[in-house]
Amino acid sequence: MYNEKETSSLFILTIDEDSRYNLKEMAKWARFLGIIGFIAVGLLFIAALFSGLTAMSKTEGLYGIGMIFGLIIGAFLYLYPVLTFYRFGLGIKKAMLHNDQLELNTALRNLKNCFKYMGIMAIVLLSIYGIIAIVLLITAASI
Amino acid sequence: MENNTNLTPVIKTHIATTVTWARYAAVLSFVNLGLAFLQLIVGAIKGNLNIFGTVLSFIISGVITLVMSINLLNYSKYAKSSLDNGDSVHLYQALYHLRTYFIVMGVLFLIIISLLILFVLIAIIAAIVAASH
Repeated sequence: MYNEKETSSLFILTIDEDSRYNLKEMAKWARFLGIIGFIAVGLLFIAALFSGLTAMSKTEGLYGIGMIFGLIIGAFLYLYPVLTFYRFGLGIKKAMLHNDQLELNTALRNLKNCFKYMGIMAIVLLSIYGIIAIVLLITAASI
Repeated sequence: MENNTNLTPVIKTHIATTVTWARYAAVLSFVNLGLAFLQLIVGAIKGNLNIFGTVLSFIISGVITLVMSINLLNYSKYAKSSLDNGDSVHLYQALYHLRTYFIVMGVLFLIIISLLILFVLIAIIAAIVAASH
């Protein structure tokens, strides 16, 4: 792992014009994806409301409430990576425009948080799949 | 304007963290692709799937996943190398691959949104036509 002590011993890496171009392009797409993500999260909230209400009116109320909670939790889980991704795009744009070192730090921290969050979510999902598989195997073996 | 943005130790720490997670995400995507291929083979052997449709969808999703994963893996590789050796060329290459990864993701979303809008329009037109008859 890199820490400040280790990395400060390296000579300074500067961001040249070509890298700046790459960062600017990245920022554009990150903001676009962020906005799309916000719209998707909003649509998830709306879907939660409508599908929950429909389910409640047609079937048992408990199923509808479960559906609302499921979709709302899904929307909240998506909100953080979308937010960090959008902030990364916005931060890089500002950093490149004003040569702002602090803004570059914050933008890359947001990218790091986004990657970390997605990775942890993948681990959580894989663990859940693993547990489900084990439970299914045990159930199948006991029948 | 003078270009004075540097990779400070704090930024290097952030990039180092993204390197780890990017590699992990890329490997996970490769494993996922392998499992999808295995599923395709098992399905084909059992003979309970529409071969043409399934193979076509596997090829499309496989190529997209492969391109994205390779770019993510290359970002991880070059970013790590630039951090280890202080190499600006590798930093450029790392950012180039991350940019490509973002572009592929963005274009993919654009295609999905366009298709969604197209389907909605077709559904509206079909509903109007059905109502007029």
